Formats: sequence, structure tokens, C-alpha cells
Amino acid sequence: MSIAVVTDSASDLELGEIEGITVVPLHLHFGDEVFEDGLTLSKSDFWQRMDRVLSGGGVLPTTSQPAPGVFRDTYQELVSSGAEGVISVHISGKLSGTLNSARQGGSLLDDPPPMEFVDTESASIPVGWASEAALSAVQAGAGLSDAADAARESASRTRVIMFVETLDYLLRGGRIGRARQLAGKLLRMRPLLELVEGEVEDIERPRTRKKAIDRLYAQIMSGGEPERVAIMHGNAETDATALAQRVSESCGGLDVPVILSSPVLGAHIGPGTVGAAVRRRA
Amino acid sequence: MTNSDGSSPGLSGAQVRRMIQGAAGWVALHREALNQINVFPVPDGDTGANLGRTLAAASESLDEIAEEAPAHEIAAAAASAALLGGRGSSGVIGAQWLRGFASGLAGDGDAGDASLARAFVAAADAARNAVSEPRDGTMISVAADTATAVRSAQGDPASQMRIAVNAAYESVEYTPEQNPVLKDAGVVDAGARGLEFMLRGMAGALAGEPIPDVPAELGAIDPGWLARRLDSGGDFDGFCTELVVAGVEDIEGLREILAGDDETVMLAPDGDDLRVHIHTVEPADTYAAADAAGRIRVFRAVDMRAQAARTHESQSDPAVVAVAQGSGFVRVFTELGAAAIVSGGAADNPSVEMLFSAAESVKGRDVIVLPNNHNVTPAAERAGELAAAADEPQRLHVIHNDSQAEGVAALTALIGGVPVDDVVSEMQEAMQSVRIGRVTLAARTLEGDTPIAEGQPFAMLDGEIVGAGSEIDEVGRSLAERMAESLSGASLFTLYFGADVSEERAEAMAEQIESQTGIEVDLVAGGQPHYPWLLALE
Repeated sequence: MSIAVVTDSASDLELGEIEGITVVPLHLHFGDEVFEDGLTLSKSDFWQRMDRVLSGGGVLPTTSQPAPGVFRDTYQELVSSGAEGVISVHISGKLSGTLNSARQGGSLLDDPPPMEFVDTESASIPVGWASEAALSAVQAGAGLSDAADAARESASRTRVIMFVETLDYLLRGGRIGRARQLAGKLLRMRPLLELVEGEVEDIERPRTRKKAIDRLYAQIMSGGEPERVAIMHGNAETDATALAQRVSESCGGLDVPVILSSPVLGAHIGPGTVGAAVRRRA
Repeated sequence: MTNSDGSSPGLSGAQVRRMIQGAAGWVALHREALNQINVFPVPDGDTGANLGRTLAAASESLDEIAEEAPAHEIAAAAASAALLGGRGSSGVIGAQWLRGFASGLAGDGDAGDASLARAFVAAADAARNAVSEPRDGTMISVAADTATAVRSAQGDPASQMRIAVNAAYESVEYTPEQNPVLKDAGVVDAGARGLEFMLRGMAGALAGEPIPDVPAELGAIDPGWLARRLDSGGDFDGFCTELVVAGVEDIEGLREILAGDDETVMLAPDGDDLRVHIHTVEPADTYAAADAAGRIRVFRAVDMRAQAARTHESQSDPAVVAVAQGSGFVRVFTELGAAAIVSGGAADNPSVEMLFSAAESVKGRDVIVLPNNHNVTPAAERAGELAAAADEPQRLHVIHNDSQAEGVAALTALIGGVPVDDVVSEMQEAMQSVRIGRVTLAARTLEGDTPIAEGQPFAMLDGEIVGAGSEIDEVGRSLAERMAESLSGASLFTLYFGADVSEERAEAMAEQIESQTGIEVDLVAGGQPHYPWLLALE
């Protein structure tokens, strides 16, 4: 059985980055201008544009999910080129309507193939890794539901933790979850946030960047040596690279890639953010 | 037997004494049972403890009163002691009920005529006045129903008391119909039952019956109820806040400010002091209002959500009790997750009892105490000894520190899900990574290499005097520079401005420090006394 793997651009996978995974772009709006995440607006263009907005004024970006029709067309195309089943792996349904759009897209197909939808209850790199896990399972000959389970299993072992320079972006986008209680606090903080069961939760409250990076490092290393780590950042490459190196050294030279956040995620976390995806050993 | 004017014959002082003792005995016997059915307004499991402690204070105070004192004097002494020892809502209402009861016994100045009916009416009125928004289905409605029954009753005091008990029982049984929260939880109101037990104790004493050996079965909260309430978020939010404020002239004005947002507020004058009990989501606002209206002698705020979680669940993370001075610090500490705040600091040490009871209120095995002043540490240590020896032993982990700014640094390191010893060491480490500077005025002449005159501003860095000057803000700016030089790689100043510093002056100061040192300044209204400027650098 030939099975196709689909995800969305909130996975922080770039379009065409991995052969066999189709990435459907979310939308990014700067005022009336609409971009397709990573397709009509590259990561570096996005962050440059954010810089311009922040220094010179202008509208901050908002995001929206892909339309169901886009998913329908994507699935249809995959079926037409021989897919007999589809696994669609997505950002937490509590953070985005993308998963819902994907399900609706599936139901719009005239002759739908067997499909599995995976809510990773996460965002960013863990979604990408879950998609990769599904692909590997498929390539190893797994059936549809086993391959979907492989994606879920990967997501369940993966934490995503980050600190933000300011909660303003999460507040603006309404994606602040249980960290809401931190808003409007007296003290300046760079809170350490984690996606827990698909929602943003604050786990620690460091006040300086240095402390925040130290605590992020401690969180990455807690619970034993990880299987896989990637560092992501919102235009804070120097700090991200230094952290990646520190983690790599502590984990016997583990390859720790540094990933600039995609525009849709960047719009919600804002510049200065540094985060990590950490997958524990099974 | 009835007097010629229709009132019941008088009670003797000895009878009233036994009645108070009986009330205390009955409630003490049912302390745990009452705690267990406590669900309203918050299920903090302390109704029996609070009412029991209040009546114990009342009863014990009578040892000091002459054997032959008349009834109204005995009652007044008991009421006065109850008002001083009144704890929690039920304690405050119970104390006010006793106060009214005593004034009713005293009559309108006419000697000799101690009418129980009048005492019950006055007691019900006083209880009602203790609460800003009286609710049916509570102690208040039981007091009212009881007064109505006794007023229309005939007979001697013993039979009047029996009528009171029966009326109270019926009123208590009706509370679930009046308050859906009770019905949902499958219990009657704990405070209401407590008042009924006070009356049973009083009636029994008057009839010469001993206090029973075994408490009555009161049932328990429907086990699923608490989980439902916690999940729904319920109306647990907020702090149970108690204050003693001296020198308040405009009591009604303060009541209006405090009752602003539909919060439960009780004010009880007690001599020159005003006792305040309020459930509020912003205890810092209560502190600020009380601070403006008078002098805060005692302030204690306990997070009811944390309390409920630790009472009924096996919540194992340690709670933090922070000693604070100034409304801004009260706010910062509550925002950072302290489960209880006790007022105190320089020249205003909280009592051992206050610290002990705050720890007891937040429940749980481990409690971290932030004294935030070295003078407070001994009291905290002593409270720890008491807590270790209590019926429900607790371990108090007293963090040694000498400034509220250090306390803030410690609290930012508070994390859940790790052993308490790790939390404590994280907190200590966090305090060590912060340098603390403060500016104050010399209370007396200080000898030394550079003598400091009385009233002259001087600066301290981590407890050492590092400079003095003629102008407060100038001393503060030099201090900031010195701090920046002493800690390389520092990236954040927190500048807490004191009670006597205006916001404009503070903003100007923050800007100057930022431009002088190139370090980000986080400006916080600490509202602390004694130190116009308190600086933390990390």
C-alpha cells in the first residue's frame, strides 16, 4: 500500500525539505497582504520584515489556517499520483484550526482513500519529527494506522520548551493558554513556556536572558540524555547557536541543528525567542 | 416561670460562664467534623478549627474574671476575647454573635434584667453586621431564625435555650435549600452547624448536662464534588485576607473601598483596632487601602486555591510563606506564587504565632518561609519548631535572607515537581546570583571611617555601608554605578521605589540609571517603608 504523509508549515519543515512529506502552508497576513508561509514569504524575508515593522511602525502579522479546499486539492493530487492512503500530521488543534481544516478537506474528496489525522498536541519541530516518524514507518512497510501511531508516539516523547522576550505576541494571537496568568505582571520576566497537551503553559519564570538560557539548557538536559534535540529561535541566532553547541557537548557530540522559526510561528512568539525540541529515548 | 414584664428571669454570672465553656467544649469536640464539611464560601477545611480557636479564647479568658461577676460582664469578657482571637469567617461571625449576645444581656442600661430573648436578637443583629453581604444558608440565617424562635418563646432560660437549639437545628438542615453549593456538595453549611453546636453547648451547660464523649456524625463532602469544582475553576480564586489595623477613623469609607468588587468583607471594631476579614483576588489592594486608612498591625493573606488543593488533594509541592512590607511587595510575592503573605519587616516583626498559623493555613508537609529580614528569622525558626511538634506536623524551611528584593529573587526560582530540598537550594542559588543595594536615612549617627550623621542618606551593598551623601537620589545613582561595576555580565536592575517616592521621580531615576550603566532597569513600585530605593542587580 502506498501511503502519503502530509503536514503543515507550523511543523517548521520547509516545503520540499524532506522527500515524501508534503507541507501545506498556513497563511500569514501583514495587514491586507497575504502570504503563503514559506512559499511566497521566506523565513529570512519574514524576520527582516518584522525588524522593519518593529523599528519603523506598521502592522504586526497575523496568521490563518489553510482552507479545507487546499487540503482537498493536496490530498487529491497525492491520490492521483498513486497514494492509496494518507497520514496528515498537524499542529495542536488547540493552537490552530489547521487540523480541523485538514479533516474537512479529507471529507470533501469525492472518493476518499483511507486517512489518518494526527493531532501532535504540539507545534514547530515536534510536528516535523512526528511526520518523519510516520514516513519512516511507511518506508519500513507499516500500515496506515501503525504509521500514524508512530507519529503520535514520536510526538508523545517530544517536548517543546522556549522562552520569550515578551508575552505580547502570544497575547496578541490569543495563543497564550495557561500562561495567561503571567500577563500584566509587575516584574519583567522571560518566562519559560512549554506546550503541554497542546496548550502553552509557563513552567519557570527567569528574569534575564542569561538565566532563561541556563534554565532552558537545564530543562533540555533533565530526564536523561535525549535522543534528539533541535534549537529553534526567533531571529536570535547567536544565543541559539551557543545553546546548541552547549547541548551538543553535553550529549557526546550529538548533532543539534539550529532552526530559524517559520513565519507563522514567528508571528506568535516574536523576536528574541529561543526554544528547543527534545525527544526522549523510547 | 416568667417575670412580671414578660421577659425571662435573669441568668447568673456562673450560668453564663458555664454556657460559654459549654459552647467551646461542643465546638472543640466537633472541630474535625466541622472542618470536613466546610465547602462554602471556600472549601478550606478550617471552619471547626477557626470557630474552635475563637471560642477557646473566649472560654479561657474567663479564668481572669472574678467568680461573682454578673452575667453581662462574663459575656462581654468572653466576647472581647473572642474578637481578639477570632480566626476565619466563622470565628469572626461567632465572635460578633457573642458580642451582640453580651450587649443584649447587659440590657439598655437597666440593671438586673438579663433577657435571653433580647440577647439572641442583639446577637443576630451583630452577626449580620459583621458581613458586608449577608447570605442565607449561613451562620447569619441561623442566628436570625434562632432569634425569631426565642423571641416568641415562653419559659425559663433552660427551656428557651432548648427552643433555640431546635430552631437552629431546623435552620441548619434547611441551608442546602438556600445555597446550591451546599446541595451540590451534599452537606449543610459548616459555620451554621458550628453555631448550632455553640447553642447546644450553652443549652447543655444550663441544663447541667455534660458535654458528650463522642462527636456527632456529620457526614462528608461528596467525593466527586471537589474535583468538579477544581476543574471548573469555581470561585476559589483569591486570598483569605485578615488584618488588624490601628487608628482607622473612617471605617465605613474603608468598607466601601474594600467591598468594591463583590468580595466578602467583614469589619469588626475592637477597641482602637479594626479587624478586617476579606476574600479578595488582590490582597495587595487590601494592604494598600488599609495602609492608607490606618496603621497595619497584622496582615495575613492565604491563597485559597492553594489551600484547597493542599487540604483535599495530595498536593506535594512546597508552599511559600513570604513576609512582606509595602503593598507593591505584597503584589510581587503573590504574583510569583507565594501561598501566604504575612506582614512584617524592619521594625515590625511578625509574631511567631502569625508565622506558624500562616504555615498551618497553607497546609501540606513542606512550607518554605521567606523572612526577608534578618530580624524576622528567629521568629520563623521558632514557628518551625512549633510546626514540627504540631498535631499535623509540618517542615518549615526557613530561607536566611535580609531583604524583600532577595525574597523576590528566591521566589522567581520556585519550580514545581521537584523535591523540596532542590527547590530550597535553587532559591538560595538565585539569591546568591543577585546583588542587593539599598538607600536609607541614618536613624542615628554612625561612627566609622566616614561618619554618617543622623538623618543623612547612605547606601548599603549586600549589607555593607558603601557610601553616603547629602541627597537621597544622588546616593542611589552612585550605588547603582558601584553595583554595575561590581557584577560583570549583569543585565537587569530591578529598582523598587519606596512608599515616599513618587512615580515620576522613580521613572526619572530609572532612566538615569539605565543611561549611566547601560543596563536594563525594571521599575517596580515596592511601597516599602524605610528604603526609598531598593536595588537588585542580576
